[in-house]
Amino acid sequence: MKLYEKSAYEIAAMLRSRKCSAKELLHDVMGRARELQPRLNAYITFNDQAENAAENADRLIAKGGDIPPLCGIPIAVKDNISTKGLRTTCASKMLENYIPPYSATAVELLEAAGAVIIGKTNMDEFAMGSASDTGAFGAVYNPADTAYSAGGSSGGSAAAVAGGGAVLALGSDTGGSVRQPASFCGAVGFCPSYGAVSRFGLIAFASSLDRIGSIGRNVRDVHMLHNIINASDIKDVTHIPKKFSKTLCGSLKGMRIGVPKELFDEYISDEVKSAVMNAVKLMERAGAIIKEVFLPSASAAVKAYYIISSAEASSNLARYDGVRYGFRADNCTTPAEMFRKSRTEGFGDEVKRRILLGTFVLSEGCFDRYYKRAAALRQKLCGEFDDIFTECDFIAAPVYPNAGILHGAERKPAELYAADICTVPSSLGGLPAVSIPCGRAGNGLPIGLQLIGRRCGDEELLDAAYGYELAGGGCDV
Amino acid sequence: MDINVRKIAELASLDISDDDIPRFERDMKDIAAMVSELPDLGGESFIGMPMELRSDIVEDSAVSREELMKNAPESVKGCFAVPRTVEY
Repeated sequence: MKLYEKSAYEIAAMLRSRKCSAKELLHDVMGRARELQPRLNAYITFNDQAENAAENADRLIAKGGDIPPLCGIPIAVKDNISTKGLRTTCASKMLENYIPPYSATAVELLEAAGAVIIGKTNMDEFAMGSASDTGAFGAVYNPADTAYSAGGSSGGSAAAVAGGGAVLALGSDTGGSVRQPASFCGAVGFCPSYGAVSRFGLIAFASSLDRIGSIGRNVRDVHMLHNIINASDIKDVTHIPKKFSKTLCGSLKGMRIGVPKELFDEYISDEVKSAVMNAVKLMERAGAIIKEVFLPSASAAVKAYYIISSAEASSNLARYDGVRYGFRADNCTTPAEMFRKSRTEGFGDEVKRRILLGTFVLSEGCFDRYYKRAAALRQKLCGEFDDIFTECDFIAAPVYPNAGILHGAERKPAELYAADICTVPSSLGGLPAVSIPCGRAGNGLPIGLQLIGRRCGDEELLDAAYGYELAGGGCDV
Repeated sequence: MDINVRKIAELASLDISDDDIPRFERDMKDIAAMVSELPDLGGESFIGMPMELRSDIVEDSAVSREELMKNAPESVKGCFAVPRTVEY
């Protein structure tokens, strides 16, 4: 087995027992990432300082003593997470040449834990999309079959990890953007409770929904990464206190798993339903108790999500005006002309659509009908989740209605938005959710099982996901 | 429902070309139709207590003014520069 195919915890043990060096590991993983780049387009920028970081890791390991947990492990970072001195574009012409003067808290924590940042991964522009094809740097292709998208918006992170071009990766999840690409690529994608990982340095899309998540090839690896980035941070006013990690034991015995029928309706393809229900049965055989539960607001949640996220996006993206950073259009004679032309030339179509929708729902005469109703629906949905968690420990659901999205297929934006039905409810509720491979479709593409946990129940959720893995769950069950 | 894309774009400080208007109008109508059937649950209770924010006080920064200005499209004497705003 090549080094790049090994899991993070195997590599961590190898580094500590001197079976490989961080530099050898970086060369192997970076070589694989560069080999795959023409086929997958997973990266926007490779980190030319990665070798220095690997050499530092080797020096630390040689010294012995306390070796930081991620020491020497190559990690990819989604290109909407700020990295000091390393270009961070959000896959947008608007930030094509932006070099952050500071790093996100999550990146600082990774570096303090000895991780080697291998590069910045491709994505949908400003994380707005489901197929990593709305960005200015081209689409991301699925390592399982390049006729298909890697999913989005963290498609580059998921494709890099699944293909061996990174051992672990950070993504961001606003309405499913870590879970859905992880499920398409056959990786594990974890979206933590809102506030569990600091958003400081994550370029804002929809602030009440944005989260930094972890992608890996198995649950233990993802748990290792999450435990590093899960930390309190005064720079994020919405942070919640750090939950100290437990060792995963993976027991599903007596766990009550709710299956909401609304997330298995006719909109979900038969092969996705069947793969997810097989995964539920596998958990039942491992000792879990399965219950039917109800989430009546699930389909309305998609509508509320697009109203709230677009409203917040239109406000957050107002900062891009060509004055302090980012793209500025040429030959403007007044500031107003400069703002308008810079935004028009700097943003792509999907970002413009979301800004227009957000501006529309917040405009005079529309606020009550759209935004207020969406906010009230969000509160109702949170109540429905609370009810479910009085009788269940976790919820099991699909991640996406279909296995994969074909590149180049004609898709109406409204249809693409509606397909987020399985991931956006937990996003609106601020709940932790994880996607784990649970089989393959007829087209060979992986399918994901989604487990949703109680707010702040991140550790327990990852333990249940590990239990599913131990019970034999995975892509090729 | 009629959606005036040109007017919304103006509010959002975006230009949508004449050629692109029909496409954006069609997409916006589809999206507005998709999101428009939300139930009216009434009440104002969703507006919670305002979030407690940290004090907005001046602190020393680890980032220098020079570093912050490096991303500016145009700067003059350490200040951001924009096209002239007033006639004189």
